[in-house]
Amino acid sequence: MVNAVILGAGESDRTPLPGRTAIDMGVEAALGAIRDAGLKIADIDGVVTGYSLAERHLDFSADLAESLGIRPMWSQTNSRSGATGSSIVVNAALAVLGGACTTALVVWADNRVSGNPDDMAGALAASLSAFEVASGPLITTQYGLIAQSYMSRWGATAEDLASVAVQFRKHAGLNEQAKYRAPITVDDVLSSPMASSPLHRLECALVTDYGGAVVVTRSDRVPDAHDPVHILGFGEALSHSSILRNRDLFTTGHTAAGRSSSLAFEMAGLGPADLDMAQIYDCFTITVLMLMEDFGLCGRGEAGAAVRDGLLDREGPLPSNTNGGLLSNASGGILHVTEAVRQMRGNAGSHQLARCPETALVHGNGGILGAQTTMILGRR
Amino acid sequence: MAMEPAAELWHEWAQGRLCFQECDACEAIQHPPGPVCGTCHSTSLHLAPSDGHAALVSWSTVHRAPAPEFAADVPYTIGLVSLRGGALVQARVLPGMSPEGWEPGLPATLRLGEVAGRPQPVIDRVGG
Ligand SMILES: [Zn+2]
Repeated sequence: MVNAVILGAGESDRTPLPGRTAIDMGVEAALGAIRDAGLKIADIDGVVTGYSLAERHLDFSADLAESLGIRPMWSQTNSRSGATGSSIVVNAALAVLGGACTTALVVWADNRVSGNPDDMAGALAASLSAFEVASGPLITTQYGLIAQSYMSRWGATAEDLASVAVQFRKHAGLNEQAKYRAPITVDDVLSSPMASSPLHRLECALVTDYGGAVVVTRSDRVPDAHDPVHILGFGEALSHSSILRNRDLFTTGHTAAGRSSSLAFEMAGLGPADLDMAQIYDCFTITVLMLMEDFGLCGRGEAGAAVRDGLLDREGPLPSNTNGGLLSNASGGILHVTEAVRQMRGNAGSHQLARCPETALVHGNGGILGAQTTMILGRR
Repeated sequence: MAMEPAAELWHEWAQGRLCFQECDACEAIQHPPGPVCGTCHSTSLHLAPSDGHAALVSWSTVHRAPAPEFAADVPYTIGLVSLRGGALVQARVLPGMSPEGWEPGLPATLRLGEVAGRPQPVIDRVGG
């Protein structure tokens, strides 16, 4: 059966530099991905990109394609909040499978630090309705409301949530590119300043520059001797824009990731027990716990205990966020994708897993647990 | 003069009338208001007065203001409450009330107040 495949992955340097643009980092990541794929720029006939919060672009994909000197037959700019990094790979898979193009370049880059945006908080608050903003919430507050509800429902503890940040920091320790590498303890997390209860500063995603890219084509077009990563399944789902319109978040605690992951597993013909690795969107510690339960990696209310028992550890049953994730490595959900591809192809460098994963789940979450995109990757 | 549902709701609140959007067809309360009922997809909705009776769903205490107009209030608690039928309202908890001992399901009361100078519902009581 023909499916979409990822031929290569690239990441830009993330050191903030005055004047460095989102396009600069997108181009750097794209050139890396094209090289890793064993292709030339001229082979690219499709481009799909994410959006920038720091810079204005009417069509980011157009500005990126022009900077690379290409005139693709298919191009798209996707704005699906945090889910964008995974969603643009799904867009590319649909484009190559549907015949809109043959070889799609997938890029998400943003200069959230170098761009020195004067109203980053305002740009993020645009994801909330006026009826939320009026009470004075941070984005963290909206996740905090969900976290408080989760803790009340299951008796989960602050230590359960903090253990997610501790686990991913441990992974970042081996990643030479990670922003924060020094080990932290549960006590360190719980003694970091409270951002919006129950979430502490060390439970929130970093804000960094980033650029990541992959190249997607069809499995029947893979160059000889090339060793691709197959996109075996994917699924997307959307439950709400405002959390006020989705009471499930506060009753059952279910998100649309249950549906997106079911679709992806079904398409792949695999289940949670078949996974060798996961890269889970970790904008806050609570996000990871709730998504794990939606994926069926553990029972409802059991994710904290599973993390404390080492389920997600790089030496454990399901190594996850092996680069340190959004919590310790860098911003940008596209880096969950590039990390998965690198680990599976055995070129993750200093933090390569001892055994290259044969299967992986990659998941992006957007808005306040509203937009969900799941992919199941494999080596067959 | 006809107004969009959101503008109409802000207007009512500014006039001192606590109300929320209700569907003409299925009677669901909907918040934030919109042009279509999220329960039955009817496009016929109106604003209905509320007695402010609600139940506590969740809460979070904010330690860093998202914008200058909220800075003087830090730290402050934001509560989430549900109205009849489950519609959720997010509102500032009045100063002096501590979330210690709170749990979901406690009775809570909304009344009109002001946050950062803007009239809107606030939570003025949680529990007995
Ligand atoms: Zn209705």
